[in-house]
Formats: sequence, structure tokens, C-alpha cells
Amino acid sequence: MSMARALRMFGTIALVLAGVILLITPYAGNPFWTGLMAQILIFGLLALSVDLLMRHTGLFPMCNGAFFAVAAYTVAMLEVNYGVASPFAALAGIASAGVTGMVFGVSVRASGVYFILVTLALGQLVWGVSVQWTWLTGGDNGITNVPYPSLGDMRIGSLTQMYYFVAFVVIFFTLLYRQVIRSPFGLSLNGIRDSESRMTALGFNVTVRKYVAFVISSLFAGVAGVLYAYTVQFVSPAASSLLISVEAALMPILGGPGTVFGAFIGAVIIIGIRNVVSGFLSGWPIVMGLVFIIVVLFAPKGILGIFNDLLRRSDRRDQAADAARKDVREAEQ
Amino acid sequence: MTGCKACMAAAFVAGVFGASAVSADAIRIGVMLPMTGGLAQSGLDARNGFELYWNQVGNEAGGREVEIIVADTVCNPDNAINAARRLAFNDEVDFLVGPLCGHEGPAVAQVSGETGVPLLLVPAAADSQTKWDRIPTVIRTGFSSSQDAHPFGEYLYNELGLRNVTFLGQDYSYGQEKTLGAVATFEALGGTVDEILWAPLSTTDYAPFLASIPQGTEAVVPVVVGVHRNRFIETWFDFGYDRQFDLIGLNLLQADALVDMDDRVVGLISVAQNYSQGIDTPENQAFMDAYVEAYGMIPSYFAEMMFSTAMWAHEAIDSIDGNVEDRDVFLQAVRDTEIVGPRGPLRLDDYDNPIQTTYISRVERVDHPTLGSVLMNVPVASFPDVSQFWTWTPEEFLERGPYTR
Repeated sequence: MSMARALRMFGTIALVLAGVILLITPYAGNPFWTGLMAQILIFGLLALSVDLLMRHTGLFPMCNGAFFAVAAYTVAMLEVNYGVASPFAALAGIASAGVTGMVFGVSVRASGVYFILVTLALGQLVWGVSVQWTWLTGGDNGITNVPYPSLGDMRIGSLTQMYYFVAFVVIFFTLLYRQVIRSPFGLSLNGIRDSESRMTALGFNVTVRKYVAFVISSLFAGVAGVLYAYTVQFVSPAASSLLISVEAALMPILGGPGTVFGAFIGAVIIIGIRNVVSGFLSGWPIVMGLVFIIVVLFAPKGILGIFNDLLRRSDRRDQAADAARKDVREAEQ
Repeated sequence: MTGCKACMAAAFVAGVFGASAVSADAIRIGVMLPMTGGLAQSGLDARNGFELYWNQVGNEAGGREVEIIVADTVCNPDNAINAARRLAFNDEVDFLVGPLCGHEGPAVAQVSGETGVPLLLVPAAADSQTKWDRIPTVIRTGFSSSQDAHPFGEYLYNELGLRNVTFLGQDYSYGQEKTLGAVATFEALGGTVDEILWAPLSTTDYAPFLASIPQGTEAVVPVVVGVHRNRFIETWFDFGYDRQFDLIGLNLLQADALVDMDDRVVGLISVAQNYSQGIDTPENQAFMDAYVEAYGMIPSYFAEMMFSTAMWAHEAIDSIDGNVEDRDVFLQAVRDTEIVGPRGPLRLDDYDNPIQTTYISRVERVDHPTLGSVLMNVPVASFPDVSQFWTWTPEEFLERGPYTR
């Protein structure tokens, strides 16, 4: 069996295994693992929203945690304070993230380091509100007792049901995300990342496209925020902290920027180390740091990047071998 | 990379199947504290206090061995939820103790509510947890944010004779609850609050805040936390505000901040809290000596609160002969238990919050037999039997709603 075929088989097995783990977690494990997997899925989706700007458009946003938090707070407030029905609360959550995205979208006029700084400042604005406006957000005490979502008489009644709901929604939006990045619009974003001036010369309105990408990113972050509020059932300023934005950027970098699975692999690593490794190793931040250093130094395309590189290399080797065999055959004739 | 994948897979398997690997008869206590990150030192103090007590009693309660399992919460509610679930399901602890950070409290309490695993809530101080958002399986053994602020407001008016005061509060839940608690009782007596200056947690420079202290105010009352205490004190003395106004600390210089201070702070009223290192009782003397001997430093109030929580749990477990498996019996035992800890007598009110002494402390330079010359908080006033509702009825207080701005 050629190396390429072995790698493909390994990939397929890994994918099937991931699917099986995704399906059976609530039954194979206990609520700890179910809750952890739900968090991984939710933060994976948030990481995808960052990757849309970071890898596909060449913008490094530091405010996706803010969209995430705005959506989470909106859902929590509407559900807890006003008893709004879940579908409306969820839509309002996503919409509020989108509106915040439209406002913060002015930052696409800046580029490079300035874009990072502007989005950092805007993100901290939301954090400041969530900490200081205690009459609205509950401050550090947060908003507690967010119920599981319901539709009329249908009600999600347990963490297990919630988990499957989260898995369904995350998979749906991940597929949607894949459509976005493969669409002509998505490809034009890649063009903007590679050369803005060339895209301008080709007649694309670069600023508008970046703005739209920014708003789409905020909507995806909003979906993650809505799921977060319903799953964790508690929203506090931690949701809007800078750490969330930074980690959401680190996840695709670790897992494999530009890929759909990379974000989730990164989420498994970061959330896994923090919650699982910390259970038996008090020096877990060192492990986290080492993983970051190793990935950045030796796998700049992330963990999935190693796999893809290997696959490409062995494909090329196979092709070369095929060509050589063909040459030999032709020479023999 | 594959190595780490393997270790995570191993961890997953160990977590799923290894839960029964812990010893069967020991009482298992799950302790949730920040062991890494910005509050790691406070978390370590708390852990030390907890372990000190159990070591003193030979890690035994109700005739059973006691096993302590510490989980790192990183002072982040998302982690705290996972830590609580891991302790409840994988380690199968009999009850939970913690967390330290205010915003972790509701997260952990929620897990206690959904699993039924009792939680001794300490040191997290959010007012709401023993007032508006109570959960039946949650008992607080620490304090509520505004609890010590109420007597402090009266102290300002009655003992210090102040009539015009400016508050400087840290602008987040704990700071607001503490500040506004003192404002409420000070104003109720007829005192005038000239201004409340709110300093965000992101403040790095206190000069602009101090510059806006109104002239004619008699004293400034700060509620600042963590590294802000050092920033505030530096600015206060460097800009000469000590020559203009009195400085009366409501939440200013706890033991862990005094380590960084010099003699300029000697004589300042430093903090109103349920503990003061200078309490002159045999219980506190024994605790101080044991802590200094074990860890070579003065115990913070986190250490004391966890020490007396361990004592509380110990006596409760003894009273039910170690039957912690019956959660209702255990919770009732904790409610019925009254102890005298280093910080004084402790008992619960009907809302599962301790009724305890509030100490108002002043900084003094003390000659410690082993540590040498150190700055230490010594009580100048104490208010015994302070309830979280102060002199209001619980109904009045609950009706009025939380302290927010």
C-alpha cells in the first residue's frame, strides 16, 4: 500500500472515530465529558468565525469574543428577564451580534497592526460594559438560570439533549461556513488576503467585501454565543474577556488555519489541556505553552497542516514513481 | 504531537473508566481554587489554610479518612463548571468547597444544584448567592460582599465622627456591593457622600481619580482590590493626598498587600473584614502560630476562611458519624453546627450565610517572634454577630434588591 493511501485511510478512520465520539459521548462518559464536548464544539465554531477573517481574509480580529458575549448576554437577558420564547431570543442574540458586527465593521478601514488594535479596543468596550453596568448585565455575578431552549411544548430537558442540539447546530453552521469559503465571495476574500491592490485593479470593491466578511464573522460568533448561553446556562464577563478572543484565534492556528476541522482540533487541544490535563498535572500551563511553541516552530500550518503536507508529498512521490514506471515502459517498447 | 494525542486519549479513557479507582471508605472533598493565573497566590493561601486544618486533625472526620482533591479553576467560570463536574462525576466527591473568584460562584453553585452535590461556598462573596439566587444545596461559610460594609458605614459616622465622605469603589460587582453597602448605612445615619468615584478594573493610574476628590470632603474611603491596592497607595502618597484628606480603608490593605508596603501606611485604617490577623484569642493565636510555622508567612483571610470551613465541615461530619453520603443529613448537620474559629464564633442564618464578627483593622508594625518586624492588621473595633442583612429584616433587604449602579 502506498504511503498516500495509508494516509488517506488514517484520515478516514480519524474522521469516523471523531464522528463516533461525537455521537456516543453522552452515553460513554458522564456529564463532565458531555459538557466538555459541548464547549469544544461551541468554541470550535467561534474559532471558525475568527478563521474566516484571519486565514481567509488576512485580518486578525481581537473582538470576536465581544460578538460572542453580546449574543450570549442578549439571549440570557431575554430569556431570564423577559421570558421571550427561545426561537426569538436566539434570533435576537444572533442579530445583536450582527448589528455589533456592522458597527465594529468600520475597523476594516484599518489594516495590519492597526486593525488588531482597533478591534482590541472595540472588544474591550463590550467587556467594560459587561463588568461595570451591573444594573444591566449583573456585572461579575452574571446572569444565572438561563433555561434550556424550548419550542412551544417541546423543551430540551437535559444536558444530553442539549449536547445533541449543540452538535446539530454546530455541524449545520460548519457546513454553511464551508459553503461560504468555497463560494466566489469566499475565494475573492482569499484574493484580498494575497493582494489587495490586484483585487482592486480587477474591479472588486475590497473594502465592502472585507466589511461583509467581518459581519458574517460576527454572525457566526453570535451563533456560538447563543449556544454558549443555553449550554452553560450562565453568562458572565468571562464571555467577553480578551482571553476568549485570543484563544479563538489560537485554535485554528494550532489545528490548521484555513481548514474546517483545524478549528475544532485546536479547540480539543486548548480546552482539553485546560480541563483534563489540569486534573492530574498542576503544571498544565507549561504543557499548553510547549504545545504552542512546538506547533509554531515545527508546524506553522497547524496539526492538520502536517497531515496535508505529508499527503501532498507522498502523492507527488507516487506521481513521480508512476511517471518513472511509464518512462521505463516506454523505453522498453 | 502524537504523544500528546495519546496522553489525551489516555486521560479520556482514565476519566471514563477510572472513576472507581479512588478508595472506597474515604470521605472525598473536592476543592475548587485558582491554582494558576493572576489569583494563584490567593488560591494557594486558601489551599494551605484548608490543608493545615486537616493535617492538624490527622485527615480524619467521623471515624473516616478524609481525602482532598484540588481542581484548578483559573478564576474562569467556564473552567469552574468543568472542574465542578469533574469532581462530582469522575472523582465522585462527597461535597465541594470553593470557589475563590466571585464570578465562579454562580457557575459552581449551578453544578451543585443540578447534581445535588453539596457546596460549601467560600471565599466567593457575591451577595446574590445567599439572597436572591439561593440554591438549596449551597451553604456559604465565607462572607457576603456587603456584610462587613454595613457596620463600617456606621463606624465612619459614629466612631470616627465623619459627616462628609468620598468613596472610591472598584467598578465591578464586589466593589459595588461593598462600597454601596457602606454608603447605605452611612447615609441612613445622616452622613453625606460627596462623591462616589468608580475606578474600572482596567485602571492603571489613580491620579485622575484622586484629582477629582471634591475639596471639603473629610475622608476618602477606598474599596480597591488586587494590584489596584498598590497602585492606589503609591499615587495617594506620591501626590501628597495624605496631607489633605483622611484615608479610611474599607477594602484597602489586607495581609497580602501589606507585604509590599512601607511605614507610611502604619496607623491607617486598612480593612473591614470578617478576619484580622491581630485578633487576640487563643484560637487565632494557635492558628497564626501553626500557619507561620508551616508556611513561613502570615495567613491571608483566604487562608483563615478555608481553615475554619474545614473545621466547620469536620465538626458537622463528626456529628453525623461520617454519614456524608446522605446529602440532606450532611447539609442539615452543617446548618446545625456552630464553631469558634480563628475569626471568632460562626453560625448560619436562615439564608445559609454565616453570622460572624466584623473587624475593623489598623496597620501596625509588630515584632513577630519568627518573622521579625512585620506590618500586620490589628483590630481597632469589632461588631459581633453581624448578619448579611445587618439591622434590616431579610424581607426588607430582599425587597430592596441588590447593590448595583
